[in-house]
Amino acid sequence: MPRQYPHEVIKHMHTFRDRLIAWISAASVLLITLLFLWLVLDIFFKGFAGLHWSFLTSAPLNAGRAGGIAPVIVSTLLILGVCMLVCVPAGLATAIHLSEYTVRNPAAARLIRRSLDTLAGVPSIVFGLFGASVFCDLLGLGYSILSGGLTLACMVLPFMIRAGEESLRSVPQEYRLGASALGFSQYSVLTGILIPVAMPGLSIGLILGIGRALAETAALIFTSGYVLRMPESLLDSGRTLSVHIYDLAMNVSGGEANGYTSALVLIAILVMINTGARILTQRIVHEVHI
Amino acid sequence: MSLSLEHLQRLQTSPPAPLAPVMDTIIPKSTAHHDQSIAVNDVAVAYGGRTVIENINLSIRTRHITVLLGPSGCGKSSLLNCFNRMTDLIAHCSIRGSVLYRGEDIFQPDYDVRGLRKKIGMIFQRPNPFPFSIRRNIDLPLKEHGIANRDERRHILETVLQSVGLWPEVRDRLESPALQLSGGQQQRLCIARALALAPEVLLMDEPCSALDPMASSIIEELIIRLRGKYTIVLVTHNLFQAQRIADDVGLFWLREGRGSLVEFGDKEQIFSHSTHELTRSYINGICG
Ligand SMILES: Nc1ncnc2c1ncn2[C@@H]1O[C@H](COP(=O)(O)OP(=O)(O)O)[C@@H](O)[C@H]1O
Ligand SMILES: [Mg+2]
Repeated sequence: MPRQYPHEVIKHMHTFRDRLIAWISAASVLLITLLFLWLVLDIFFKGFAGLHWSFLTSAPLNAGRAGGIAPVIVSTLLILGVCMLVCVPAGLATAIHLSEYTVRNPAAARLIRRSLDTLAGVPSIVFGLFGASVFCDLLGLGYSILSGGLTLACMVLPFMIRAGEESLRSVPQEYRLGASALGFSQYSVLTGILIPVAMPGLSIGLILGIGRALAETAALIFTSGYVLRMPESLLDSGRTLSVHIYDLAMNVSGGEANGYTSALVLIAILVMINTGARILTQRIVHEVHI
Repeated sequence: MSLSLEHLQRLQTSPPAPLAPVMDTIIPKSTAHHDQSIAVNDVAVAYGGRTVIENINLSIRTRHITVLLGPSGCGKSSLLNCFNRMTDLIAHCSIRGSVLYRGEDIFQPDYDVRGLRKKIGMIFQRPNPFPFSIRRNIDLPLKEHGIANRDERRHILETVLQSVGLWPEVRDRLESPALQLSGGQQQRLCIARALALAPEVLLMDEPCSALDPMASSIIEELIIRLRGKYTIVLVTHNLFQAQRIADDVGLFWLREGRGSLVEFGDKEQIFSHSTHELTRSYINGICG
């Protein structure tokens, strides 16, 4: 029957397109997984040979070609600690303000949001220059872990605020109304309902923020420097793992082996921190059932 | 402490207090001050300058069911939201006139709103249990209002779940997610959650309209069982529901884009003896 012909074709096209889409998405998943595996295995095989306990606990020798990375690990954790100590409370507070307290002034909120989005897209080297002039020079903190951590905080904050705000705003309005109608104070609505319900989103924001901070090099070279000594206080200079890897790869001939091992350590730290953050938030969200 | 005792007393008073209607006839309305729970005087509600309802005068009788009836969009919810000051949460919402609860103007600047909302519970159109366990849904508001004793909370939990008929259905799974319950069960949990605070008044905004007929009739029976123990103000656009459960009825209508109260009175007057033309045609199914 000629009349059914076009219909048949469309039907056929549908199933063909459907299959094509399924095929393409499966292929890209496979591709990405393979790339990622390759990356991890590459680092693993090139870096694992150098990974001994002493590598983690001893000081570097000969500009990092030999010895370990103990001071680098300590500096990394200190800089990340300073950054998160600022980011978590300030980020959460600002996110709460933006999502809960700007109902009556949406124009201002929109302006703040747009500024934050712009800031989040500013290249990190610009934050590095800003940090160098404000924290190092103006506030007199010099090349230090404190300057580096605060600069990283400036860089990561816009991103964490927006992530936090989005997850708070995605909590359905009916929970707020329900809790308020039961006589909850605003504080209790926040701590009892909104934050627990938004916690999965908040923790993803935190984990991605930590990832950004750990990956950063450009902003830190200007602010926390690249001294290889073990830091004695937050006002000492110190280099992070990312900076160390960069330095071994670019400036130190014969440093590749230790560079790979350091990269392996960096990945391990990232995985550990993420797992820790996830366990911590899961404990808080334990009672939430979406 | 006082909360749960008061609460138990209330729940243990057996079905509809037969005294209430009798008292009505003995005591003239004007002198029976506590017979009147909420008084609405010349109230108007506007959103950002657009008045959606005005000239509202009515009084809600204690421990009766007052139904606010009318087609959608005529401002029933807006009026209901005034009674526990939920209007505070709505941006650009302004109210004129006064609402008295037990003789006190609730819109005074220093009025204790949290206390008000503890005494005036609210049930929403869409069931809104928190995404926590069934137990936590009741526990959270109790903790919020200072009941620190676990045994006491457990006791209230069982009592209120019993009183909404949910206890046999959920007693074995109090720790499971409230959102796993069916819509009707969720709505009953919300009613239990409100009852846990031992309120005097329950505001219900179309509590059945998001439910299937079966669940809806269970909720309706529950509301009828609560008559005489709580003052209930129920919003509905369902004439038949109003006829089944109302003691007093307020009929709302849209006139020139604004909601207004056409007639307010007891069930008899509105459904049988109304002289108001609009009311009569609405009741006889001619309009609406
Ligand atoms: N938050 C709000 N902002 C602006 N207008 C609103 C808001 N809530 C309700 N309205 C308007 O007020 C009128 C009455 O609404 P509502 O009180 O919900 O009526 P009903 O409950 O009788 O259906 C409607 O025209 C509606 O569009
Ligand atoms: Mg409504």
